[in-house]
Amino acid sequence: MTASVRMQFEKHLGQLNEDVLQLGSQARQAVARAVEVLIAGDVEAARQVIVDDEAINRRRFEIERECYALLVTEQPMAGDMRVIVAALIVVTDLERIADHGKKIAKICLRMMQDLRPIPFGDIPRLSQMALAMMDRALRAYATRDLVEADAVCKADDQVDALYKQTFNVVLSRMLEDPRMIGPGTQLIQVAHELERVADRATNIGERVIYSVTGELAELNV
Amino acid sequence: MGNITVEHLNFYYGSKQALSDVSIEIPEQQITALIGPSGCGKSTFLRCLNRMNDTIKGTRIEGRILLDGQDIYASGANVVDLRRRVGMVFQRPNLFPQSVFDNVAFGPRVLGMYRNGDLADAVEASLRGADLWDEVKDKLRQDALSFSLGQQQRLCIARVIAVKPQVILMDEPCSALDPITTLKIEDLMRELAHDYTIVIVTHNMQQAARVSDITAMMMLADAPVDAPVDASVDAPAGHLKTGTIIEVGETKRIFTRPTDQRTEDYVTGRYG
Ligand SMILES: Nc1ncnc2c1ncn2[C@@H]1O[C@H](COP(=O)(O)OP(=O)(O)O)[C@@H](O)[C@H]1O
Ligand SMILES: [Mg+2]
Repeated sequence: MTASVRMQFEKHLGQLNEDVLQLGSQARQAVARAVEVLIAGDVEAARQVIVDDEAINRRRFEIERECYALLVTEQPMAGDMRVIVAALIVVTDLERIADHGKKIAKICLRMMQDLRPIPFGDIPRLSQMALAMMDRALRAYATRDLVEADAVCKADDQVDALYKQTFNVVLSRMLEDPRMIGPGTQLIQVAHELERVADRATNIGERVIYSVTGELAELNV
Repeated sequence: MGNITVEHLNFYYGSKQALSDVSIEIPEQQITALIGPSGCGKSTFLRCLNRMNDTIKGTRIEGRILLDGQDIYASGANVVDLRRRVGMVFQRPNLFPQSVFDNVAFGPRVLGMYRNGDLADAVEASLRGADLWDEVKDKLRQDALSFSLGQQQRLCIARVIAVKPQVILMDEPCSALDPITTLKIEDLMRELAHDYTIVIVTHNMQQAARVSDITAMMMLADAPVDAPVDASVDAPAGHLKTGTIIEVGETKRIFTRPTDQRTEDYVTGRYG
């Protein structure tokens, strides 16, 4: 391979990286906005989150095609192969993260039919933690930072703990007051979506580690 | 049968050291690929395995090469028998301007391996073994050089297996062939690996990844400090580069997560 062909390939890899990161920021945005509109009770904005998800799905397929083209044209080996395969898996996680945002937006629409004020409890905090993990995962991806990638995976325990706590708090509210059963079930659903966002951030961290070291390990244990 | 153990091999063309401290286990009935940049000593190493370098004046080796436990460079070792047991296929087919039959029968005739009737059977078996019988069975008397390059290369393989070797060395056997013919030879290699140990030199990374079980990465590296440095060699002391194996392992691992950065650079095309 001559230097210029190699440089061309590295340019494509750089572009792929940017595209993945851009999808990452779109997915992050989807979750952040979904939680905001949920708390604000903004039906219009919730609908918009659902509509915007289409663009994320399309973008994910475009990046996927980009990866396939690189696999076929470059037949990459070793580190190059790992970077492309990791990108393929990461975009799947990102697309699903956006789906979690969409589901939260849908829950928002359902909850709006219920006019009682809803105590969101720890949901904002849970969302902040999940989003912070995503930020870390994307930073780790951008700089191939193993320390950062490892930190994402470690933070998942805190999210799991807060999720369990939220679950228990909402459950006891529902037991105290049967009128809370409807909104309580929705809240648990939201907490669950956020907990999944954090899991997927962990997956991204794992893929960063794979792309750098070739090690495949389940870090989210 | 056909296990090769190379221990601390040094090789010299006169005063110029070409290989330094090469050690590798080449397991029987598997395909071992040698990869590495041009000039790093792959062909030289291959030719050590059947003492083909002996024919070049002024060459010398240090270290040991064992074939099934026997030192092939031991004094009194039978070189003719070694070359029968360790056959070689080259980059370009090197057939004689004779018939298909005579090319394949050449080795067995020289070695007096068969009586006439048996010889015909052996030629047929070899051509079948090289996946060529159906294409040439009606043209056994035809000039071997009138066939396509791919067919000629398989004819070379038939000629090698006619003498019942244990090891087949292949030095860039597909570099003159088109992709389809190359795939045929690769299929044949996998087939042959059931019966023979195969060592292949290839510049085609995908080929090494597709066909081999073990991959050895060779390159020019600084000679170890305790290696004998010849003062007459035109290189600054400490910067004498000689060919060596820097990493060897299961092919899947070498191409997905090599441990040596130089292997990584080479297989991803960053080398040089
Ligand atoms: N017959 C020879 N006499 C002297 N030097 C040789 C001979 N054959 C090869 N060499 C040298 O040995 C080194 C290794 O060559 P070779 O084994 O052909 O490398 P490769 O097959 O990896 O391209 C090169 O520097 C080459 O010039
Ligand atoms: Mg060579």
